[in-house]
Amino acid sequence: MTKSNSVLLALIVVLVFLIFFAPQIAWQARSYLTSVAIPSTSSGNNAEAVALENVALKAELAKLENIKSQLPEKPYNYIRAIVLSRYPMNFQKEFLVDAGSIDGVTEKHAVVFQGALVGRVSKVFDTTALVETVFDPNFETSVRIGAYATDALFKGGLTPELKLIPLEAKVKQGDVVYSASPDFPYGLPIAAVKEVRVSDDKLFEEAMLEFSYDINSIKSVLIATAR
Amino acid sequence: MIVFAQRHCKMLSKKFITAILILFIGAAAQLILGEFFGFWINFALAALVAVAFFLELIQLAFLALLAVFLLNSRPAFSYELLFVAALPFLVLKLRELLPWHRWLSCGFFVFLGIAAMYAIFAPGIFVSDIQIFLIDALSAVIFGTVAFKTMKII
Repeated sequence: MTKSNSVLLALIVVLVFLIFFAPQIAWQARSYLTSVAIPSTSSGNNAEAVALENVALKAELAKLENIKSQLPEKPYNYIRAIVLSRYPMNFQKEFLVDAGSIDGVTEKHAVVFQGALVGRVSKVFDTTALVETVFDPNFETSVRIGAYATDALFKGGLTPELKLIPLEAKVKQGDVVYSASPDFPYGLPIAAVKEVRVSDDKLFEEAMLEFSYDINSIKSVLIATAR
Repeated sequence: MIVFAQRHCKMLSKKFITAILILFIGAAAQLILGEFFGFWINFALAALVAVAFFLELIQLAFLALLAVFLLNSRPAFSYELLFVAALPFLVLKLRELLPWHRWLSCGFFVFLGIAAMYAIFAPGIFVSDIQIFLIDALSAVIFGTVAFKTMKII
């Protein structure tokens, strides 16, 4: 074996070690690289914050108008977590956060950004957790829409949609969509209805959605844990 | 000193250093564009396929692992990254088999690799969002071809 090959072999061993035991070095490098290349817009963007607050208030109003009196309160704690890295391909829309099982995070917990549901915990490690965002093709959850609390199915993807909206439902543009799954705190706003249409089989309505935040600019989130 | 090293150490050959730079540029472009637009183009895979036409097995192994290290986004095993690391070795094995120009073979392998990835990991995208696949594959083919030409010139 030549000397250069020996050096390369040693470097390969180092890389294998880094991949398995110190991947956070690459995440930090990525974070630095992207922060240098892309100026931060997430928390400092006032318009985005106001839009999100508006959606959150609409969701709260819808919840109060309809069902709050019938609901037992189920309090939640929230753990703040920093986004460490994002899945680098188009097959999934997930990111890694710096809170894990030792912080009390478990699978399926809701992940919230400025009051809006942005995903759920899909896998938990000791000090980190993977978050499947609402833009992941595998993300599905039951939701309610607007002041009439119309039931629907939220289907994730590059352009998330609402499915299985009853034909007689009074859903209109601007109605807030909020969580109604037992996995999440009730009434977390997710998006607003952008456009309603009848499904191809003419049995239900479907709706396109409008989001008040940019999922790629999120740098920190809150993870809901039952108290 | 660098010239001496280049003469006597295969590890530091111009082609190998260029290959590392191309991989870094590809991975950086993939990560920055992905973070900014939320749309990820497989530039790193394209870079690995392109340099696989010029490197030896051990050099390619180093670059494949470097790509996995740079792209890895979770503290767990990933079949997608295993695919990214394995494809260049297939190219290394098959690079002389195709009858046309080698740069065409490079583009072909990049396109085929990305199509295979989508078919394996997200076949639904072919039906629901075919444009995602097309933009990804065509952009990666262009990057891979430029990387190939660069490697050839060096």
